[in-house]
Amino acid sequence: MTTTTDLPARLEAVLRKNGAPADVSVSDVKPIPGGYSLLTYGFTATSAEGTRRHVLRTDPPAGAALTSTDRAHEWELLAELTAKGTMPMPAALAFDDGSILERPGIVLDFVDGPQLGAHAAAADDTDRRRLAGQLAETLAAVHGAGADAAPDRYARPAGWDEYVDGLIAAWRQVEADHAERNPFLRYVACWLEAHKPPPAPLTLVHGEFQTGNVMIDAQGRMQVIDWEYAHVGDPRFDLGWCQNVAAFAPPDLIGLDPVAFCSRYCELTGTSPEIVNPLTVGYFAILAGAKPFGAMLAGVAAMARGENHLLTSAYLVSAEPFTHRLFLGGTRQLEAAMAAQMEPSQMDAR
Amino acid sequence: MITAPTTAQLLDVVRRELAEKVAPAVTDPQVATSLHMIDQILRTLAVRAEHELGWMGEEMSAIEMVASRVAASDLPGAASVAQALEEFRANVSPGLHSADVAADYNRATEVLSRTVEATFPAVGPEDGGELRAAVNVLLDQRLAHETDVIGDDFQLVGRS
Repeated sequence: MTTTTDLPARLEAVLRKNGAPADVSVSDVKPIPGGYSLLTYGFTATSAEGTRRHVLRTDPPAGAALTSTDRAHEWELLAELTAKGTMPMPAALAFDDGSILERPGIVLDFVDGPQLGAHAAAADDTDRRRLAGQLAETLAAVHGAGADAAPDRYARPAGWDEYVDGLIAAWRQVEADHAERNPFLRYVACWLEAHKPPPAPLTLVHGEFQTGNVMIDAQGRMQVIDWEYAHVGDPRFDLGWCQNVAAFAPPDLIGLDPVAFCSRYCELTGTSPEIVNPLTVGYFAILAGAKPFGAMLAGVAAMARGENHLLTSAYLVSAEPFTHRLFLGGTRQLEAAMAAQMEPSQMDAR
Repeated sequence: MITAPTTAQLLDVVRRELAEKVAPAVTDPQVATSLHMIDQILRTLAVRAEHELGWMGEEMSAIEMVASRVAASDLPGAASVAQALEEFRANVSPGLHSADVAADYNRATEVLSRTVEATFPAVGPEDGGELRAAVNVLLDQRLAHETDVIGDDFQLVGRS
């Protein structure tokens, strides 16, 4: 897939192979800008059955991506979720392992509406609070699917401790793999180990839940996209990561009224407020950062080794200090809030 | 060597040209995003050119002072700090080329990281809480310099 010129014919072949009518024709192929990892195109498919707008998510050429994820792995989940029909997401329609498109790709329904992040940025306070409530409902719907919603081949941690310890170990590994030593990452790993929250039942989590990955469709419903990091884990991973990304790209819909947001989420999911509250979400806002932050640093490290010449990697060097500030400030704020919540007897015991 | 105008001044000229002449002519949103990224990178380069070597030297001195106290303490991680400190002192480069200083700074950063780990469990003055506070000052100092490089108003672009 070297140009968009031959893409319509290739997409027609992919659609036909996945059950589209023989007369399907593809037109109006346009790149959709944004994102750091995959190439995304919008296109129109027309057949005797009608006209529909779709999206292609495909891997970029080797060496042109900051992160690398597996389309076949993602498709397995999306196909199962689409078949069930209960997840708030655009339907996944077709998959190609690269034999037609030259690189693996997934075709999904196009969501005709804005991203939640951009929509919220332009909204007033009243509308933002309404969107926050809707976001809690969307997260509850995602997590309500349960661990069984993940395909059999998806890894399942033996328990909560193994899951969280694995994420803390990932923080240490990110530092070990980086091009230079980093005291902030070592600090974060120490802090996470010392402040573990009570465990939560593991379920299917999106893995990169943020307002940039939530679209609002023509009916005003939220549709969750980009499931490449989905896994079986702690649901607070998604809440925490959503709040983390909001620090880079405001507004923070959870942070508008974190107590109300967590209460609404607990009410919808039947989760105890001891498990989901602003402090535990804050903990996961930091814990969840290892994978995406690690992916970002991997690009920076590759540049330092001379293996990567991407402008985005050079730019993301600036995101490192921003992240350090976020994590250092976040841990200190949480530590103070946790200490303030402790009974005097607990403080003595510490 | 030509030192005037400074590297930072030259980079500032490039930034102005890009902002005032090039950016208004760009209509492609992807190219506009690239230009924004380039401007941010040039901004950081200007600050680094002005201060990087000086800041690294100041931080290394401060790290060495605090780490010496941690290494001499009874904290469980003191020996690990002492080992990294010895490694740092034994390999200090006589040169002032950027790569030499950066290598020294990286070894000093390992010292700092180990002092973070050694002092993290410490809470009260009697068990090294005062050392943890000193380590926090080092982290704050490093973060202040890093923030000066990227600017207070940094916001991520390119992710729509």
